Amino acid sequence: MATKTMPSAILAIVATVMILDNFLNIPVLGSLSSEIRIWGVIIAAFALGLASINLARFHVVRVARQTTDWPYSVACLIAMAAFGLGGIAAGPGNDYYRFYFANFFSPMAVATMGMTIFFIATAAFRAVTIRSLEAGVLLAAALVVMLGNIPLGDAISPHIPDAAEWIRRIPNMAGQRGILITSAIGSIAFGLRVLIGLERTQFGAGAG
Amino acid sequence: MIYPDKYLSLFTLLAFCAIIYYQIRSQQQGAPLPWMRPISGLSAIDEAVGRATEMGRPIHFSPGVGGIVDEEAGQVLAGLQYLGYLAEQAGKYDIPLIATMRNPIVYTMAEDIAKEGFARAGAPEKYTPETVRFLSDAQMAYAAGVLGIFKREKPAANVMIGAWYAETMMLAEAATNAGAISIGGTARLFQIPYLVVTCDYVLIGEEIFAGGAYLAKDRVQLGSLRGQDICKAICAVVLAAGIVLVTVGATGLRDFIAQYGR
Repeated sequence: MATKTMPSAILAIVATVMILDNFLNIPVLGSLSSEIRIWGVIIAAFALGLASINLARFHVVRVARQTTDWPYSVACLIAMAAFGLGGIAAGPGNDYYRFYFANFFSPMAVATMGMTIFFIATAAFRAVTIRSLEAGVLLAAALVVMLGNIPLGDAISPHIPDAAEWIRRIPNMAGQRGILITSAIGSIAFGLRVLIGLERTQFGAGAG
Repeated sequence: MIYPDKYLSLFTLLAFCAIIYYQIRSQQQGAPLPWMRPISGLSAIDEAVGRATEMGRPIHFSPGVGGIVDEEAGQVLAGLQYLGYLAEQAGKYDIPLIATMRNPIVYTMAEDIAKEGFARAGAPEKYTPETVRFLSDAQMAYAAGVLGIFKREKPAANVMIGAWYAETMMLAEAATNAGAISIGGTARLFQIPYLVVTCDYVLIGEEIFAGGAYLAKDRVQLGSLRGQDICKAICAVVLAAGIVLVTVGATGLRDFIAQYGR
């Protein structure tokens, strides 16, 4: 029981300090919330260590059992060792570490990001396949907005860029504001339940 | 003591909290159950579980790439509710569950939640270290890791509810290509359209916070949901009044909110 109650109590205290600091001009609350943020960074560092152990254990087991595609796990372990041990030994500002970061990590991250375009192409194709009235409206709005952003749209009709702007500013914005307001209310309700200890799923308890 | 430009925000926060708390208490004391509009995305969670059971393939879950020390914390925590439910169902029906994490703090919480979920189903032994996986703290490395899991392990269902960023489209589309049914959800405005075009079911905005009420039929959550609806009605009335007043040239309400509602 205490394993659930204690974290709830700590969470409630910390959250209350952070919320009050947002509204009240009390210096002690400001210092407390800054301190809590620093603790957050320290806890995150410990959590990262724990998570890295999990990752390493997972891949060591895969290599040991030689499961499907286990050589990828070897590559992962080598990369972890090179980055992790290299970074710890030499520091993140070291030339060795920066070389690997700039020549391995960054290009691969950018390449992964670049793959998004292919997924957009296939997703867009499925999205504009008219299967319902809503899909038809989506297609019409998408066509107008796309045409409104290229010179061809203006060449077809000078009203197209205006229509595209109207779609962005009026129906799109109205929908976004609606989602924003209701999401904020949802967050308030969720936060309140956490604060008063009625929401404990984040500590592993079942709902309620 | 109170920041002058935050009087209205503080008042609104306290008023909404009071309304929601009152409704929760009413439900706990046995008030009639409120009507709930059906949300197809939430009904689809059980469909996803059924599909995975029939196909004998895993369910993939992720609460997104957001953390719990920033403004998306609520979304991530709301996403973790679904992990608890999925773990319970996975334990009950003997389905492999793969939960991938990007944030190390969320990972430690997710491990605990998944373990408890399997334990609630009476099958704690079915939780393995492979159930909750930390992939990487870097966004694109995490995305690449999930793509690999989709390719190798071919999940029957992909539940991605939480705080999502640029990787949304990639992951949801890759899940579809792997033959999985996808249920997405986020309150991040710029990612909702990507989920809409790529997922089979989408929880939009506040719907992600309603999971407990729908899945567990819990009275606390139902009361909370009713309180939220009352707050939304109040917002709608203020918005309508604002529209009418500004249209007729009376800007008093708008100026008052702008001055004290930061």
